[in-house]
Amino acid sequence: MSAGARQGPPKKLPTRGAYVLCLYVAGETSRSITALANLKKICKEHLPAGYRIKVIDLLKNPRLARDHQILALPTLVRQLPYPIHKIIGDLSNTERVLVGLDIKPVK
Amino acid sequence: MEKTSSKPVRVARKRSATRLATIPSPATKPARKATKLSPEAEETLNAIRAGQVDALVIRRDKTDQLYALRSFVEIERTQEKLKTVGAARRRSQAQLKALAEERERLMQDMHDGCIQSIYGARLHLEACMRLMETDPKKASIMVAEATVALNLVIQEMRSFINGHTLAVPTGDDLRLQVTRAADAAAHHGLSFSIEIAPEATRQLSSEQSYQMLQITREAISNAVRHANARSGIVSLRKLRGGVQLEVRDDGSGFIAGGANKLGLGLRHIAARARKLGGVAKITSAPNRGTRIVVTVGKA
Repeated sequence: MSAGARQGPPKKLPTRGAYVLCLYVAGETSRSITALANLKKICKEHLPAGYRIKVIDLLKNPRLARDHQILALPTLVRQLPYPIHKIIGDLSNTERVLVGLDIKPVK
Repeated sequence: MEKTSSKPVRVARKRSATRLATIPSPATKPARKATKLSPEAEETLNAIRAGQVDALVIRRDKTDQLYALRSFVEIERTQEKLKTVGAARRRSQAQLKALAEERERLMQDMHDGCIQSIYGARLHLEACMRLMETDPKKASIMVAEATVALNLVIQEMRSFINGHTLAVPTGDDLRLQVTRAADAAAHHGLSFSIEIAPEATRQLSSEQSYQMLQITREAISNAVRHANARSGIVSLRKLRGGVQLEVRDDGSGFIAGGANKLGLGLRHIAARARKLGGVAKITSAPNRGTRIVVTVGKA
């Protein structure tokens, strides 16, 4: 899991309406691996318009936490589309992730 | 002029009235509100509670330049360490307290026990020196008494070394020990009358007897050394719910100015009384003698 690893279809800039997601982790822990697996699964199923996942390992550079004011790890940040959203945890609750990413409206 | 000066007064009154009206009474004071967390902090806490968090990001300074991660395992280990350190600190504090108490006890026992016994022996020897030429027979008796007093010191020192106080049996033995202390004072021209009620000595435990004896010895010693007294009374009587010891002398007295101005010996008397769950009352005035009354409950 390297910082800035690209996942998903496009290698070019994200298209209009595509999601840019940053997953902040602390090394290759079971929670961070679970979080990435859950995220990939959710994106594949619910984001047909395209997405880009950036994995940022704060163990290598903790200062990167400043960019999105990260408090706990793992944290998923929806960087695009605006506004920014954050979801903390291993993303095992799909409903919560979909609501958090604004893919699904709040009930 | 009057108009301009009256205005501020009216305003001030109005303000003070408002202030008075808004000060809540203690009974109606609202309870302090719980701190409301931001949604992100709330979510972080929920994730921590659900066991989904690996690490926390710690911002080390205000310039946003230094960040560090603290894994939860590390945080838990630190908490455990802190707990261990706290427990060790509490243990060492308790040990220090016990040591301080032991030191205090030793100081009291040395001051009121050994030193008084040595002082008693010294009194005997001083009297002996005076009598050596005029009454050698009596002088030899005094030497024998000094030897007894020094034997008592040796016995007491052995007790301290072994870590326990000298047991003083109740009853006639207490009377005997008090009489011995008064006899030593008699060689310096201070005559003590002793009134010890047998029913009072029966009320005292061994520990109480020991403490009462040390208080008496200290009081008699003070009367000889500092008060220049001629006569005194030692009385031990039974009360309805306990026992009262009184040591009184007709010496020079002193200005009683509170516990912090008392000498070491008088402080020890007060401390011994407290140790017995009792109270010591020390009254004195210049040229009016000194009266020490120690009252303790039933053993």
